[in-house]
Amino acid sequence: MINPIDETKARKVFLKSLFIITRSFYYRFFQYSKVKQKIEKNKNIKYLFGVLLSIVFIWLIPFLLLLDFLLILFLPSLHIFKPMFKAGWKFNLITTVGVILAVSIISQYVFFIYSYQYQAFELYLEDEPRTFIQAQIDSVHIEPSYTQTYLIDRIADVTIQEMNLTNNILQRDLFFKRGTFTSTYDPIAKQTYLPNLPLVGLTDRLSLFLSNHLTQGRFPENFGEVLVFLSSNFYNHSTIRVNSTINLYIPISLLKQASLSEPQAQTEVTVTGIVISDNLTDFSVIGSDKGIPFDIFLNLYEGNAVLSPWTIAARILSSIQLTYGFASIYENLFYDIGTIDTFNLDGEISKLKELAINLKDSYLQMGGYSGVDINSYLLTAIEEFKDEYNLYQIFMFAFLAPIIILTLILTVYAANLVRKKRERQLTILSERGTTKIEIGSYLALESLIFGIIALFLGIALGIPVSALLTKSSGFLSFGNQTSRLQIKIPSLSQALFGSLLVILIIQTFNVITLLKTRSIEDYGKVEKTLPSFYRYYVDIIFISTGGILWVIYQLPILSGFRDKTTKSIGIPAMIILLFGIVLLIQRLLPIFSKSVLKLTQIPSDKLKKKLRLDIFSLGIKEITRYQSSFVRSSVILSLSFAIVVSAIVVPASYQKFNIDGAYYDLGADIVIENFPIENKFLIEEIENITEIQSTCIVKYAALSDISGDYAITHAILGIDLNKFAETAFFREDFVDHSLKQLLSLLKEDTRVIAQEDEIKTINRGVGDSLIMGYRAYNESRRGSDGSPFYRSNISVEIVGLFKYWPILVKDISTTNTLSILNHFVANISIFNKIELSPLEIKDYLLIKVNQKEDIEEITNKIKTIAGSNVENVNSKIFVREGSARSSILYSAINSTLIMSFTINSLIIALYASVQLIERSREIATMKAIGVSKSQLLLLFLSEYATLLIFSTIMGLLSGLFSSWMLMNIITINRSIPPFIMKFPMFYIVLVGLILLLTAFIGALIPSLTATNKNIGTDLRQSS
Amino acid sequence: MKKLSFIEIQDLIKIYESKETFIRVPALRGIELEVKKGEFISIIGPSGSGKTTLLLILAGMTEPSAGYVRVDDIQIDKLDDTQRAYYRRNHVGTLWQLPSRNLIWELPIIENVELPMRLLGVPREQRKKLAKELLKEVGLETRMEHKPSQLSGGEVQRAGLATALAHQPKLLLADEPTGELDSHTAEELLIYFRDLNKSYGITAIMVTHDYFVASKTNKIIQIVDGRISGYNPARELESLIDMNKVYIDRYGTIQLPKHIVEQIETQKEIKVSMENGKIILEQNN
Ligand SMILES: Nc1ncnc2c1ncn2[C@@H]1O[C@H](COP(=O)(O)OP(=O)(O)O)[C@@H](O)[C@H]1O
Ligand SMILES: [Mg+2]
Repeated sequence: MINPIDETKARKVFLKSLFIITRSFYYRFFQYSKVKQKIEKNKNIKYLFGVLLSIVFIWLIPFLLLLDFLLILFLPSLHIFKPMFKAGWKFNLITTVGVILAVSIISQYVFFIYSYQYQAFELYLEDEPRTFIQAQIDSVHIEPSYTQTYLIDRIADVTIQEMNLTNNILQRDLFFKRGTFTSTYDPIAKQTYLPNLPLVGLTDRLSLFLSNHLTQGRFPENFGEVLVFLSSNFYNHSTIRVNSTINLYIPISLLKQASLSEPQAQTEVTVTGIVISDNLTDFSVIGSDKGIPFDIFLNLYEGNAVLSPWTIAARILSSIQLTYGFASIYENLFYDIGTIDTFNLDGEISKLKELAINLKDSYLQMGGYSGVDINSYLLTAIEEFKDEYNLYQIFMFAFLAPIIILTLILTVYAANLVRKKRERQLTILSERGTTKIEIGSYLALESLIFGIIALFLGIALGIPVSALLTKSSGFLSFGNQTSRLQIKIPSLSQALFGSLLVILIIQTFNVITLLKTRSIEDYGKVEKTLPSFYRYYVDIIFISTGGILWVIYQLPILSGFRDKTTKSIGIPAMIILLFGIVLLIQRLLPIFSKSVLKLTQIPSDKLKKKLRLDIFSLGIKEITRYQSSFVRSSVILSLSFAIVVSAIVVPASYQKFNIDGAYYDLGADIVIENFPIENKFLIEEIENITEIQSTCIVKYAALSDISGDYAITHAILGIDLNKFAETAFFREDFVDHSLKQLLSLLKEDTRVIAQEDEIKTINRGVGDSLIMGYRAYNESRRGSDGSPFYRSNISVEIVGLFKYWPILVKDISTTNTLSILNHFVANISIFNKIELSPLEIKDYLLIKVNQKEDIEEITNKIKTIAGSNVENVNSKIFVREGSARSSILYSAINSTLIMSFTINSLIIALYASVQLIERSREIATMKAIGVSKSQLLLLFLSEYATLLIFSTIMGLLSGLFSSWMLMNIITINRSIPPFIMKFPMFYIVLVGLILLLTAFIGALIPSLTATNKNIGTDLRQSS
Repeated sequence: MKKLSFIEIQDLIKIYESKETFIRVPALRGIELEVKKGEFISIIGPSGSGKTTLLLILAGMTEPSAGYVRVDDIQIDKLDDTQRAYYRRNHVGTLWQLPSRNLIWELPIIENVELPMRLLGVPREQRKKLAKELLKEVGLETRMEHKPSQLSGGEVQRAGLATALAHQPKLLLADEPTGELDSHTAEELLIYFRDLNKSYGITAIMVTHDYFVASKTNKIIQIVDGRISGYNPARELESLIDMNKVYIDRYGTIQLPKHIVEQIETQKEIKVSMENGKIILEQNN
């Protein structure tokens, strides 16, 4: 459930976003003058600039409205209103359709973004239980009294009060924890082992929570009594029960092995109760609808602990020898997620950072605690959310910006199509003695009426569409229930505000062009050339501008500013280039129609068929005759198809990139980090799960050495050669030949394969050998200085090369810095030849699940066996199906698709009807000489079919290009593994067919009416 | 006291200036004309001689470059944009060759006729009555609610005539109103035109290139090369224009500068050819 949004927050947000628009404008201009003095100097200009911009933004609309009002009120044109309105409403309606579309897109965008942004963070946190801030105070002597907890909590309290955050942090909880372990008998494996079982001291609220959720027994009350918190798996693998006594030990040496064999300090406690963690309800927190799993709350790595009230636990602790009563105190601070302003993420981030610094300071200043660590899980979550949200915005922006531009073009185009007729009316009006001011006043009144119609219809249309979009769950499917449309005063007013601005600008533009002096001379001109803007090489200018911007965007110097440059340079470059390419390829239209013409002129035996072909070729000839108008509509059609294509290709490719990225980082379906690989029994148990296909052990270590001025690191991934290929994630393009072939080269221990670019920088290649120096460890070789460390090296032979390797290669070092990092893959047995401290080697177990099995379910199964260190690939994927996150992605796509369908059918219908009106005389003449209705229809449809086919092909090509660019933009911060373009042909063809169909129906209706028209009236109508 | 003529034009010059090419086209080169009240005169002349331009100036639709133009007691050459609009609204009725320029195609005939009266603020009842009367007079009483596209060419021009007269102007200007009609329909329209001219006592000027049509009027005036035929203006126009640039209109008509015309034999065929983008005019002796 999502918290209801209060109106005050909403209103605040609206004002803030107005402010942000203004501010971000002048930041764009002044952010580079970051030198302090310069800022001082610029302060006045900055201020003025801000004020000016606010004036423009906030006052342009009232100003234009006032102008409208004055024109209407003081210069009455009411005496001509009735006939002019009657004569002109049809033409106005055509323009209004475009404006309605523009308004509906704007309102869709605003409603959707608002609804999303309100809920986004809470939705984002759905999958993230760690939403608190945790202060960890190490090495505190624990007193068996609550005064200590009170004093420590007081420090946090004061800090929060000083920062005015009392309303944001509604709950704090304290506990202490000390790492201990115990010895227990495993009745299944029939052996005794030493699991970790940390000792935790609880404050009142935590005690109360657990005493209410006991699985067995009672809550500890006396000295020496404890509660055991464990997973059902642990329970089954141990003999710990209510009333049993257990020993608590503390490890003394750093090394696991050494300590495990001979516990050195211990105490005996009695278990009075047991809490099984598997079915424990979450610990509830004020200000959040969902609670927190208790093991996460206590920061338990393996999910098990012994717990007791603070005073009892403190005494148990001090009774364990060598602890001297020392432990770490944890304070969890719960931030009310609802108070986080998602419209000001940067502000929230800096507030949280400040809180962390202040907390650390206060613990030191007031309590004298020096070993304080603040783990702000919330901060991490917000920062991640910000990145992710940015990506969504890029998506929305990249698709909706061209769509809005497209609707504006459509509107201007529609206005142009009917302008001649409107101008004719206005010329007559003016020749009969109407003054310019009267006409202007009339036009203002008229545009106000149609503007209001467009505004309301557009918003009315935008609401259901955005409601639908919020439900987007996939490609043109709408089954998502997690988020819902929220229309509030601020979003409504912003939609109104934006739409009004667009309407007023369009209408003002329209009125001004209509008011210009007209000459009646150019009636019925046929434009045989390309549209006039081609004379200025607009296409070439667009392509070169876009190209230059693109190159600038890709500059390595700017790589640090990608966050900012993506929206300001990258996407504009993409859009400009796309428009340029679409314009450029229109130059091919005559060539295309000519070659289609040639195809149709193949002589045919059947006379009837021949005639049909002749009509068809006549239709195509018309394309060259009316080139200018055809090119105009072809531009719009190609553009919208291009956008549609990228709306399909980009998300599909991104999804693939996303999944590949997750797999690449993790290595396989499921991975257990720090896996105790010596525990053969555990591996066996995991492999026994029927849904698991295979497992593979992998070891990783980094050998560091210093050679002259250089710090050299050799990172080695040792893999189980027999199982790697079938278990791990791997893509064909990661290696040049085949993986199997490459792995077969690694049979011997000291053979390695290397990253191809890195190995070149150190002048080595296949067949060369390499000596890796490192700091070796051997307990039995402790020298006179008492250190077990000494220098050693290993000589390896390079037998092959790879480009990328999952888990291992995150970054390829090719630059000449003083530290060199080289990556190698080797047989896992290479680690027998390397003497490293066990702590320096990371062990992983990779697990491959049978196809079509639910990874999540199996992860949970494995967790009950191997503890909580199990990660699966699903949790690393950004946009999972059905998640709230996928909703915004798909709504961007769906909105693009829906709008493109509408625009396409509208544009061609508009175009066809206006064309046919213009050519009504021609049509009548053809009818008069005996061309039949069906032949005439064929004539028109062959024209539109050629146009559609041309623009579809061109749209597809430019769409693929812009998709590639957009993928480059989205993945610019992550180049490994490189993205692969995905072409969901089924969807592209499907959408292409829908587009063609809608456009064809759009063309058919006016064509049918035109062919059915009476000859007489048409011949008589003057052009 | 000498009785003033209704229209008086002196030294009227009109030069069109193209904004794109900066070429100046002299359309009227010093017109002198007087028209009495109630007269029905026709202007004839070859295409491009400036007939339409003269009408446009009289109609207050374009500004003269120089000269004196008075209609009734209004000196038109002194009017500004708005004043000219009021002049058109109150005093002039126009009828053009193109039917689409006379009527608003999207409105029924009756509303077209009412439009000029609306501009003058004639009350509704009176407006309707007058419009009906006018349409009756041009024989369209049964077609009042029809749109122009439903009428024949002659009917459309008759409706246009009714519209031109709706606000009872003092001056009626017609530019080849019969141009798009067959001779029978043209004659019919002309009869209506003359009858209305008489019954309303309106001064009427009609441009035509048809001598038959012109012969039906009180007086024929011929314009050639922007001048009333046989009349030489006192002021030399050539000083106003670039002597070495000429204008070719869209029909291909060229007007050669006077200093060249003086040197050649006129009323004779010349050979025209084009070479390397240059137009060559050759006169064979
Ligand atoms: N708007 C204009 N701009 C430039 N030249 C024009 C314009 N209108 C007319 N002309 C030129 O002025 C001359 C007279 O035109 P016009 O008055 O239409 O002649 P007519 O009506 O006798 O055919 C012609 O050479 C014509 O090309
Ligand atoms: Mg003319």
